[in-house]
Amino acid sequence: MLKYLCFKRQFKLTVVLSSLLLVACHDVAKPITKTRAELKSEIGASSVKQGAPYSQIYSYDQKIIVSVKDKGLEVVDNTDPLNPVHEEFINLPGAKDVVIHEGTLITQQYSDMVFVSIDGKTEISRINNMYDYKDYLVIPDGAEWYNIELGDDEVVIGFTLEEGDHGTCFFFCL
Amino acid sequence: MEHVSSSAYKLFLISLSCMFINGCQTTESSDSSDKHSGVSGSSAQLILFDGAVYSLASNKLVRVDIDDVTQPVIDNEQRLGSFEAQTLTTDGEQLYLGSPGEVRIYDYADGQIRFIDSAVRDIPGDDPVITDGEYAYSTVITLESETEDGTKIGQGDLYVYEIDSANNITELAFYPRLGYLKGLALWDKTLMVCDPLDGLMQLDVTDPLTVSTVSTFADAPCNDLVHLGGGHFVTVGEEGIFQLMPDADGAFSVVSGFN
Repeated sequence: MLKYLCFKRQFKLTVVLSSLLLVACHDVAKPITKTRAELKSEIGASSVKQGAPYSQIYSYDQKIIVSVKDKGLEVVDNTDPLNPVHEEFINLPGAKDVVIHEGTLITQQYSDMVFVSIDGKTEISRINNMYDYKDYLVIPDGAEWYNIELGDDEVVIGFTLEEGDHGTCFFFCL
Repeated sequence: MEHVSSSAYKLFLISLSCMFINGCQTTESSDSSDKHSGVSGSSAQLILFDGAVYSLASNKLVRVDIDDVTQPVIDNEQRLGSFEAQTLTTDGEQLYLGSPGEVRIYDYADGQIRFIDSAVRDIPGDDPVITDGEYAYSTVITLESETEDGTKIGQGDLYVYEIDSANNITELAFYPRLGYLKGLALWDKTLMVCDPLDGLMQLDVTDPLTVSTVSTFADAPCNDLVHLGGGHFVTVGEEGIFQLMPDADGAFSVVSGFN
């Protein structure tokens, strides 16, 4: 009888530990951050074409603006639609949808809405923390975010995928 | 010589299109004094409407006052709750929000973002929506997966909604498994739907109850597109930007590519 109870207890313990193992051992997405000062200093225009793949599209005043993932915005002169011509590349990492209002380019850059001069050279203003990084960054199925305390001037720009939950997984795997 | 004539005709169409731009997905006020109206793709989450910027942010519809771009201010927010909006478009009069589950109409009046009405359905997937004010069209991805080499593949459905005078929208027709449907744009009775694998699809929507495929442009794979007026469509995708225009007989062709 005692042997049976002992086995039962061990079985329960095994089930509990296995559950913890399953919970603890999924991948963890650890945020990569930059400061807003860094993001602002990166903004600029270049004559170098980045090329496809492109994502979001916006057409304005005989120009086509498309976003290049993680890099910025390609501006195409579409005066002659039969022969579109590269005009400039605006270095604006994290830029997604774009609109233009009275000479100002407005876009989402990671967590912020940013306002940039139409030539792509100067940041005019930004609204901080309008977007949640858990919305604009997609992590693989089954992975979980590693929560960090963000500084006032920090923006999440990406993530690294790490195995397990910082030692816990390793402990239970033993 | 024939080529020159064709080009001239296409450029004429583009000029003509400026007269009709307010009937497209114009994202700024329909005020004709604003000659610099821009056009967003149907998958946009950020648009200009009624002199302000609207954006989908953290499950909220946010209005940003941009009277002074040096000091932009969030002056209104509408919490969307369980309505998981993912795309934002306008017909110049109202805002249309697409979500995996439904399409909703909003406007701005008396200093508030106002929810008008919705058509409810219950299907998971993507959701760009466009409208000409009479009908609204939406694509929904129902199946999506990734191949071993990382290529995304999928299948989607097309929905057609009728918008009545009371601003109610009701589901009118449903076309299952048309392709890997993404963004879409409309001109007159021509609906162009992006497919990143098989290429742009041209559909005839003269009768929304019997939508038919007219042509597929395999050389223009895309995720989204805009209509610039007069049948001038510009697509965007993994392989670049492609532009299509109709000839004198109304037959569309790809007139340029940029990558």
